[in-house]
Amino acid sequence: MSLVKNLALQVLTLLKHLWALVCDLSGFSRGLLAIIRFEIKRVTTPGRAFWWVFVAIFPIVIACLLRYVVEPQVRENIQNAVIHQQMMIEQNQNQQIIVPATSGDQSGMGQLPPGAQLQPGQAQPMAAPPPIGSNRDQLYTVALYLLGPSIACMLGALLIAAPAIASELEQHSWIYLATRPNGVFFLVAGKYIVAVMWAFSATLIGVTGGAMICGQEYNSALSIPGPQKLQLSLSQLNSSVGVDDEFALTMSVTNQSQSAINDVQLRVRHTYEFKLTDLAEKKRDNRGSRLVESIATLGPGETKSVDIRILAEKATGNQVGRITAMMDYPETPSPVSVVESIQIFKESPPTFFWRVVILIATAFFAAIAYSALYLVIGALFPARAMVFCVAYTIGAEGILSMLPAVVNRLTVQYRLRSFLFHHLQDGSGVSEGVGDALLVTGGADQPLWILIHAAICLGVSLLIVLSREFTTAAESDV
Amino acid sequence: MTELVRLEHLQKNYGSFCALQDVNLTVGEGVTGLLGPNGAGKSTLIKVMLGLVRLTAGKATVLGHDVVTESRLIREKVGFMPEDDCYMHGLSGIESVQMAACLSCLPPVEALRRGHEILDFCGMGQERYRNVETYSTGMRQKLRFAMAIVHSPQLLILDEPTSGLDPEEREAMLNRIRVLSKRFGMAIILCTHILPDVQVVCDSVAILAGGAVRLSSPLQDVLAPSEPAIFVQVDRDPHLLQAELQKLNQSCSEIEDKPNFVVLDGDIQELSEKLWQAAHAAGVGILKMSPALSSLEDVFIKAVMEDQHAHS
Repeated sequence: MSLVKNLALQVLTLLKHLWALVCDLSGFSRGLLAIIRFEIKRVTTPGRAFWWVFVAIFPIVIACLLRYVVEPQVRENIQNAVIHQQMMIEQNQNQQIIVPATSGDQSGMGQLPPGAQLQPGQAQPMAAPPPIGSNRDQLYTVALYLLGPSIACMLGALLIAAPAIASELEQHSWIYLATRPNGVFFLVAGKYIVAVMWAFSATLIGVTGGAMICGQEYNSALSIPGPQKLQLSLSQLNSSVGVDDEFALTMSVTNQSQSAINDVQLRVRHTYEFKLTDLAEKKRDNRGSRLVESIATLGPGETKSVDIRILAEKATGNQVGRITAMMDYPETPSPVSVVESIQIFKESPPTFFWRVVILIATAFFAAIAYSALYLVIGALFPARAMVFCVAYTIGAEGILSMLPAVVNRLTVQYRLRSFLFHHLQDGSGVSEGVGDALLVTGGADQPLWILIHAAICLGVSLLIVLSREFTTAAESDV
Repeated sequence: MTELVRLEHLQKNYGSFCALQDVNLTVGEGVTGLLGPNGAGKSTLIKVMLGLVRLTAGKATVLGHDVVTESRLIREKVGFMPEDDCYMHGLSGIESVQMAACLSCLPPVEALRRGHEILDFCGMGQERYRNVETYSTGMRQKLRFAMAIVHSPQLLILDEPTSGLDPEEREAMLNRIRVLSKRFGMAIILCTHILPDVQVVCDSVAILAGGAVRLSSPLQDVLAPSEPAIFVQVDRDPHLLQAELQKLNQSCSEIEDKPNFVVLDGDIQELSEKLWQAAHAAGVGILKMSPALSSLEDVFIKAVMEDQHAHS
């Protein structure tokens, strides 16, 4: 009963404080600005500045490693797989082959298990090569999210917000602030704002720098060096396609060799959302593709373009579907297939700028949420604030947020992931598959949830510091 | 006397430990010395007055405001100089004072002007621009004092303001306290262990021991001896005066460590005639004559002993 009475009294006192502040806005702004101003000065000491630079540079360094060390290796592996596939198809024309036990599906022929036997002529090119450009951007988006808002911003908030109360108790300066008219309120609010600024500014640099290093490759398909003499390209005339829209694709083929090439076949395959209006009558071959054009002879340097009219019948999210262009032409000793793929969007795909903006916005919400969260933990456990914050981060934000249960919605990570996914839900941002893997459901209301979460945390922090009796012994314990 | 602080049947428990029990105290204008041994409850009493801790029982009003419901109003009008060696890391002296003023809702420019004014008053020179981490104990003491008074409080609570100061600085600090009290009319509660400081600047004194107020009254009354007596300083051998006084049936005793002093038991009005007569007969010149006072130390020890007896 006494506890309830005390709590009610503290809430009443807090409300009175807030009302007094509202009534005296100039005094309120002066006090708050004073704390912010001096707190900024206090967090720009060489030690803190070093950590700021560390938090800002950390995503950039990792992005550099991904871009200049990991990515070239991945590209090389993909190229090797494609070349290997072509070699096996050529080999399989006349003889039986066995998929090596060590290579597995790296044979490039679908999902064949190691040791599978292929009768002569059975080997076919892969149905569709991976859309490397968009996958790459998607991977970098997720990587930058993990490096920036998830780790760097969390770390920044942890360094500033967690010891906000403890540091004042440790330096015995708490009493100075507590004996000022609204000192405790200004302290909590001011330190929170500075923590948000500190964490967000460092993450802003990290995410922007990382994004600039990673760049964007959407629709600039990987050029595969090989024996091809013909170059195939596919371009979309409309920037966006809605349901029931008829649109056109231009399929172009260029002879890059010095001699004429005969008997070139252009084919196209599409996902179920489309109907190829002018090719509806043409039958599909065993690869599910339809013949678009047979070119008897293509002279040296000559280019031939064909337009295909397509009707979009369905749509899922921002994606409508994928059109895959294929080209077969005879080459000694076996025919060669070149495949090119294009993703069709209902709306314009997000630009590089938009992707960076969403990542920065996610970082901003991360700074807001984590600073408030660590502030309340720091107020609850001033003596071991860092330890409790790290434990919470690992337990709740690390493990709980990845549990496939409703309880993960209580975590900041879930809200941030959902926010990111909602705004980048397309081929160049984050695909539905990645969304499923990250256990998000999307939703435009995530910023509201994050703001409510931060407001609750701040309110609880204020209540704690207003009601808690920091004795001299407690100050010494910190 | 205007009552600035009124504490009635105050009780404060930290868990099962009783820090303050049935404290009744009234603090008026002028300088009030708050004395007590370590652990007597002085810091808790100050925190109660500032509304920093919740009361277990009783009622407390400071400057007419209830400490439970109107703590914000109290903090607007009260300045507090803590005992701990605390300072705002990363700030210079003037910035610390300016910040304290801004937190009391002064505009930044006015806060800066006040900061310089107060630091001048505290005798701090160009070192005000240095980082506070580089300050000596004395300078930190001055800084804490400046931060406590920058918003011109009606009531100033000073916790050990002279501890760690050299004699010259100590005298200067006591002077500042006197000036604030006498010239600016600021009510001051001086919490200290240094009894001579209390004797020099305080108008009244309260002694706290074992969480209870053992004594509270004007300093003049506290120091008044139980039996009236006179201190007399003479210009030559006091034995001559002593002999003449004995002839007049007046007892007189010497004081150890003070060769030219004697003490006469009795009231100054009644004894003055006999004293002058004896001095004339002995041919001794009287340099100084004043009513004898009790030692504050004796009063303090007596009050604390009462508490120990109560405990035993």
